Amino acid sequence: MKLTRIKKLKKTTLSVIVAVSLCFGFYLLYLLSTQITTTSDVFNELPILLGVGVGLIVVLMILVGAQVLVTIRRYRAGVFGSKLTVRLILVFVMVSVVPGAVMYGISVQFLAGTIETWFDIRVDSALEGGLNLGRANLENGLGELQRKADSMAVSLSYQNTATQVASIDSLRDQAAISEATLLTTTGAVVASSNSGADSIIPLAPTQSMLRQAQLQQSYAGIEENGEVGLLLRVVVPINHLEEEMQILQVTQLVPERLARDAAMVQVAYRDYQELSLSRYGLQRLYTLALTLSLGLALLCVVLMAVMFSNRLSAPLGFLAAGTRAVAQGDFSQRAPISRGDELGFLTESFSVMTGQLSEAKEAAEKHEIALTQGNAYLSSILETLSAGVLTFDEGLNLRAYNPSAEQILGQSLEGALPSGASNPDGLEAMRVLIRTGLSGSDKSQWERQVEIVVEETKKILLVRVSTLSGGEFPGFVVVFDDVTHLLQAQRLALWGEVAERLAHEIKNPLTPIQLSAERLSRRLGPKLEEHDATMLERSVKTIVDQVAALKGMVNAFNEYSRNPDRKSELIDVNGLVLDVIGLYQATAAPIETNLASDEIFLWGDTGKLRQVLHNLIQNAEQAVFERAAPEILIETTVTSNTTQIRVRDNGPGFSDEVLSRAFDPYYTTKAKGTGLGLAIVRKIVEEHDGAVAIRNEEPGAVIEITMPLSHTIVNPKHLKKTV
Amino acid sequence: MQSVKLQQNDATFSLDATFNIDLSPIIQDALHKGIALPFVLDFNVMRQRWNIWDQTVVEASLPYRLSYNVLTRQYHIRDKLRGRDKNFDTLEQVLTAAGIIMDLAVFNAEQLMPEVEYEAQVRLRLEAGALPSALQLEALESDKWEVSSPWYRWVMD
Repeated sequence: MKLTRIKKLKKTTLSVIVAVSLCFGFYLLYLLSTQITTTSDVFNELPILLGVGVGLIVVLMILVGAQVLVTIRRYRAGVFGSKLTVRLILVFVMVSVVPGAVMYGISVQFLAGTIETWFDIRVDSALEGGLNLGRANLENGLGELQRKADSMAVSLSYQNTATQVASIDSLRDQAAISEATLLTTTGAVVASSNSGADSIIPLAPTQSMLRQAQLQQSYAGIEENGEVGLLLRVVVPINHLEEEMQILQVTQLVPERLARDAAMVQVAYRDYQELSLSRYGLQRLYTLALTLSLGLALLCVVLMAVMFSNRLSAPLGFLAAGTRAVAQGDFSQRAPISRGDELGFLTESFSVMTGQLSEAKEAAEKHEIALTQGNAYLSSILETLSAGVLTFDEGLNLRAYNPSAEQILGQSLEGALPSGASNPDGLEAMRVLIRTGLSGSDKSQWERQVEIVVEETKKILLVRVSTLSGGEFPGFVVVFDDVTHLLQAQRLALWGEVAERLAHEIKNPLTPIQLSAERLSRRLGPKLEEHDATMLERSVKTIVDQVAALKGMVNAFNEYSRNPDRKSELIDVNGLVLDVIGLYQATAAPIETNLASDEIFLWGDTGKLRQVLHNLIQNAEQAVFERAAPEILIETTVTSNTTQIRVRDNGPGFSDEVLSRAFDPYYTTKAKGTGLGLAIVRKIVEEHDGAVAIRNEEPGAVIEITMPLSHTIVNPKHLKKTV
Repeated sequence: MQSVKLQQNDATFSLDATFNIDLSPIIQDALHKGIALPFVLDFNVMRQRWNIWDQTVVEASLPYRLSYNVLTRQYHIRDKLRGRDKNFDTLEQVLTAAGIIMDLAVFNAEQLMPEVEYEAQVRLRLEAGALPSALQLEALESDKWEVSSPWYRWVMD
């Protein structure tokens, strides 16, 4: 803001200086052309005028020099628009300087010529001649007056003083002269005669005249008489024979007309001489004035040229800057110049254009933001989706996936993207599925259940494949869910129902069977012979025992199928393990332990976990039963947030079928097994958010339970151990 | 400058001064072509002060013209201020007459304070500004037109 204000001020100052200079130039010219010829006091004003003129020229020269320097610097620096400025300045200067110089030359020549023509030898001699003529005329009159005076002096010389006084009037009349005065040698008036009506005091001769007359010389002179007139005066001596000499003075007024003409000639002569004397001065002065005016005008023109050029090229500079800004993506440029001409129109159009571009860019940005937000929204949905989502292109290359897909497949899919090289197994299974689906039918959507093995556990996935036909990205979308747990739950639920019904159906007849057998024993026992009675009693006992066993089995069924209440408390895992194996000290297979050195705590139901250990140890004992040197090892380990309990044995290991179905209820390889041992183990472990795995590992088999650690315990030592 | 004298007649101080006027040929030429020469006698009385600017107490000047009538071939001194109007036949006469200024009343006694030291100065010059304007230009350019006696200064009693 400040800068523009300074610029504006500068501009105004420049304009003012230019205007003042121009005005002054014209005024100077006017003054010089008028005042020289008039009789005003040029002497005092002229130096001031010239000084101010020269001062203005110096100021203008400094300004012009500064402007030109700035322009040259801009030109050298290659500022956009400076070339145009320079060219415009040159054109302006050419346009003004050439005619100015021509006019100046012509004017100077004309001036010199004109002033020269004033002075002509003929005019000179004519004036001189006129002057001489007048002078001759006057001298003629003077000569005549001299003669008259001489004759009067002769006539007066013969008279005495009394007759002189009487005769002077008549003598004056005869001679037709204005005034005659008779004086003594000392200048005292003896007699006087005047042609005028009123008697005027006679004009006194000067001392030198009197002296001249005393020396017997006559005086004759033309004298100025007052403002207008000329006077002829003659003073002659009158010599008496015996008396003292006297002096006669006669004067004659030059006729008024002659006097006036003579004066006019005189004035003309004087004026002419005046001009003649000052001709070179005049010429120089006019030339100086012309030069000053020309200098002022030219400097003003150059200054104006610079100003106009800057003004003209300013929009170009703005346009250049604006274009550069637009190229760099800045659409905020607006024209500060509002002008009525085409350049103004151009800059305004440019402003309008940048405005529209700016709006368009804003709209695009908004759109992009909305799009990004939409994408983010979609991807956040995909990320929170529990189902795995994979997309493939037509060549079955993975294009996108969500975190759930990775989690379900148990593999990182990052390397499987087209840029990567890896090819995880789960992905290959999906590809197979898509290929078979494609070859099987021409439907755009199909659904399959697939079994895959993830980290050695089998997972059942429900996979839905959709074909993306058309659009920008043709290919396939694969959505899959891990339904292992679901199926398991379904199976369990089914089993629970079966178990309950079976229990009910089986339990119902068991009591009558038992009662009937006991009654048989009671009624028939006493009536039979001892041998038979014993047999009966044994049979009845078998029946009763088996019924009781059957009842137990049915109750176990129920137990399994029921959703038991779960108590939750802190459990010291190592303590629990030691506690449980204490019960197995007497058995054939020795149980070794390899427990974690740290204390391990987890939240859970002690009774149930105890049962898990019992089941696992029993399982192992049964597995090593036939071994000569049976070994059972229980290990506990801790990782960052889980604990593992492993039960190893050196038994024969599991067959593949067993490995895949070991946790299914009622699946057993033992003659007397219920098939519920491992199923219950798995059920309990899963109730505790853990996982159980089974595998063969030298020297036999291993069952591993992974349980989440309790994170709430800060210092477990303060807690009472629950074992 | 030949002589200068300040006289007190009652309350008035009057100046008598005699100058040698020497006209350059160019001025004589102009005079003989009928151009009147304006002369000015400047007289100042100043009080000296501690700083460099003296205080001017009295400022008097006497303008008069010296001319030549080409018709009558007479020289003429006209002093309108004092009503002096005299013709002369020769240049020497008129220059001598023009250089003599007699009995010019310059100031009254009450204009000066007693017992203060004053300094008077006097000069006679040709006043170019009173020349006909065309000649002023010439006079501006050429110093041949400059006729001026230096200031004659003296301390008054």
